[in-house]
Amino acid sequence: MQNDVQLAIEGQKECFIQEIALNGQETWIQPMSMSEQFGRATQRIDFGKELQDNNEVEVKKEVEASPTKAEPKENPWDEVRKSIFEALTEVRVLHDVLAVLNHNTNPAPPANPQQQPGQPPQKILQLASISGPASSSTEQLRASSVAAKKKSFLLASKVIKEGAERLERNEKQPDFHQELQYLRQHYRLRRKGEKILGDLSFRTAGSSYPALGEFEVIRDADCSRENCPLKIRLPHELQNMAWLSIKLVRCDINDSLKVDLSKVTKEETVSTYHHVISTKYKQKGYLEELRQAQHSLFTRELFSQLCREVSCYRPIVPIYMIGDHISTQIFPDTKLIIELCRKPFKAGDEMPFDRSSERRWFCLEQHLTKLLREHHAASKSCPAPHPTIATMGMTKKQRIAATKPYNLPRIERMRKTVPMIHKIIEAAKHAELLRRVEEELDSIAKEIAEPNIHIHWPIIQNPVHTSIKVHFSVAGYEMCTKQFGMHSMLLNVGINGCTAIQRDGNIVELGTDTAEMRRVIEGELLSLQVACLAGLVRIIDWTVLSSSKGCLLLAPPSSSQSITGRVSVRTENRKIRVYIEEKTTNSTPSSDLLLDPKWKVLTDNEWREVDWEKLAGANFVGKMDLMLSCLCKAVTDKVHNNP
Amino acid sequence: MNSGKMGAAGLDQEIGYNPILTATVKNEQGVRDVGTLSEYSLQGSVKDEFVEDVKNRLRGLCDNVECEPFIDHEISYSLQSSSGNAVTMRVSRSLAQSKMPWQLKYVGALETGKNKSCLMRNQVTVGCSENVTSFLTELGFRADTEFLSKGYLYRKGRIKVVLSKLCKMKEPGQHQEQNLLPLTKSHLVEVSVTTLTGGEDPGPDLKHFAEMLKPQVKLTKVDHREIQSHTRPNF
Repeated sequence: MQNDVQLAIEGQKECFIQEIALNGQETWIQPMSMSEQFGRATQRIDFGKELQDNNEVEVKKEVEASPTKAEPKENPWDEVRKSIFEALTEVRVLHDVLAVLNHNTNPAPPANPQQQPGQPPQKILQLASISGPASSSTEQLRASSVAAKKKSFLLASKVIKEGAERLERNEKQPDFHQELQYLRQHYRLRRKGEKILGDLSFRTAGSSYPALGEFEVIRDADCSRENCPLKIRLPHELQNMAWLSIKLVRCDINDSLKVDLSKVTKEETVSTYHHVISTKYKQKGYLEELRQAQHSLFTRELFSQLCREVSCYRPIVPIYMIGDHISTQIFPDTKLIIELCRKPFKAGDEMPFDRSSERRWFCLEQHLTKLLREHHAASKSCPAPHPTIATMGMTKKQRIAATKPYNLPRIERMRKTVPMIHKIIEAAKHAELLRRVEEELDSIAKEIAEPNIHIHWPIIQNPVHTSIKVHFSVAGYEMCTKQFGMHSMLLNVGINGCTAIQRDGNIVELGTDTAEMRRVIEGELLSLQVACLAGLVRIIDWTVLSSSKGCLLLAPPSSSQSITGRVSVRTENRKIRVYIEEKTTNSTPSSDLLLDPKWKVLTDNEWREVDWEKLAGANFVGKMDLMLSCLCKAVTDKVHNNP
Repeated sequence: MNSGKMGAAGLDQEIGYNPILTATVKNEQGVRDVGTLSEYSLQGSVKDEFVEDVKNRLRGLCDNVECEPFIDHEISYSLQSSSGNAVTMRVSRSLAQSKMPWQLKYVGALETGKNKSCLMRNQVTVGCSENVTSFLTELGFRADTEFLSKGYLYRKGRIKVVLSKLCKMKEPGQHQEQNLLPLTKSHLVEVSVTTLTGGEDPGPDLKHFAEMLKPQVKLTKVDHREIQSHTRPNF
């Protein structure tokens, strides 16, 4: 048949090449002939063992052996024969299917005149909807072709999907080496014999804390935790979580003298105004463990450094160190407590302490951490000696001091380092003082509505110094104060007290008690109001005869008529009092000594007080505004006798 | 002089975070005193071709600070005393940082001892101004040898590692690059610790460090008298 296809079959070349000669000729190792194979198989038979076994085993072995020995000759080609037969069957089936599809009742379409002559007429199988007369059979053909296409697409997509799923599964399969590589990006690892050790101490950052900071990486074949083949073994001390807690508590003046601890009342923690945003970013299990361990190590180093300093540094106010607890009284009624807290670490723990009940000064804790990091950096960054035979470990200033005419105290000062405990006590004092100042300013601002108080806090703060600017103004009359300079006060909060610098240059030293500051502010407010009035009166054409801080003497304008004389404003006993001069009749007898009529000004007048609070107006200056403008015309009934 | 005058709060003893031991101790009177310092060292040499390997190894071993390149000019002076003994002083100045004070160093004799793992000698190093050369000349010292040493300085805790190439100047006073002539075809590696005499022996630390450098450099305690007495071939 012309449709027969010749198949060429070649067996696999199983010969190994022994040698390739220089002219390209290959020498093959001939495969073993049947006899050689048989000989080899017989050599494997252990006659001694076979005799000892029982019959069942012999039978089994024979049965197993027989199928392999059954067809020694056809064996190499039987497989090939089988696959060729299968292929032939498949092709025959396909041919039949195609023939069925091709068979249509309609006559074959006429030969295409455009066809090249000489080509055999082609039976074009219309599987796709190409040009052709629309007929039900073609529609059927189309429908069946669409179904066939759909099926083939489904098959193809299934294959692709399976492949992708397999790839995905492979991705999630935890690979120990990949995890190890990831861990190496975070910590230094080294191989010691069979073990892999890692270092989580701060030695490379400049620390010389002797505690062990080594962990061991273990391969966990069972992936017991979180499907991860890597496990970390930490040294015993680092398995606990450790953190520092700094608190400021209220206490009695004689707190340190208390011997009987059972009578200690519950400590009231002074509230803080800082909150730490907890990190939502969670790392992989073992990284989280290592991070906690590293943090614990750092905290323990910090605390041990503080303890060492406490035992050596003996200030006037004693610092007590009991176990994990360092405490000292920073103010007569406030105590600073630094504590090292521990808790066994469990993976997945959010925070080891109850946020609502324990109030800590996080800003001070961060300050301590920063101090230790600075120490580390300083010990690492000592400048190298130039020339090299010079001593190591000196700062540049100390080296240059060799040729400078310094005296010993000055050189000693170069060497002196301020211990961390000293710095943190200062920072704690400042923080507590700042908190008190803030509280006081807030309460003043709430109580006193008039005049207005604006308080400006700095954005960038120093741990031991803050400057606050306090502005005062009278609502509605702000432009009046500007003429005499804006009323403001600079409050410098330091460690042991504050300094208030007023606009006129006065410097007032305040202590730690905020009542003094309150007094100063109240005084400022009074003088502000009077100064504001002084600014106002210029606008309404009254003359300022004399003024000093808090006192004012005004004369009525010459252009308009005024019944009364001058107006005097004074601050007495933290209150403003207004007096109006009244022209009285000559009730007082004239004296013999003072004959000049000009002296009558002194004696002929009577000052009457005005209860200015009863006047209409939003604030003092407004009321005064009203009063002064009224005084230029006829006297109103608002002025009354004051007994 | 009293430590009580310093600081408002009566410090007994200053505690500082200073892992590198400084040469001051406090005795009972509260006066700071300077004890004698001694230098413990080990020396070795490495051929020029292998210097990069040594540098890489040191970078890994030493502290996490960049290595410091230096150029030092050293002159040694000696004074022949009447008894026949010669006293030698070394003057060294930095050409890389010329504003730094010059250093004057005296080294004592080598302390012998079979059980010592490294060389130990007493030494006194002080900073001084630039006229130290004329000062020594006035005292009667005569300039003995002069060389330039260029290289890198590494440190690990209190251990100082100096990797240097010794050169000589073609003409005295000319220390530019083109006027230098190397004395050897190798670099000198010196590992040293300077501490108080009688304090803790840093020998084991140095020995441990030398072990870690062993594949590249063999650091040993070299007996200088042997070198001085024998004539050795130039490398």
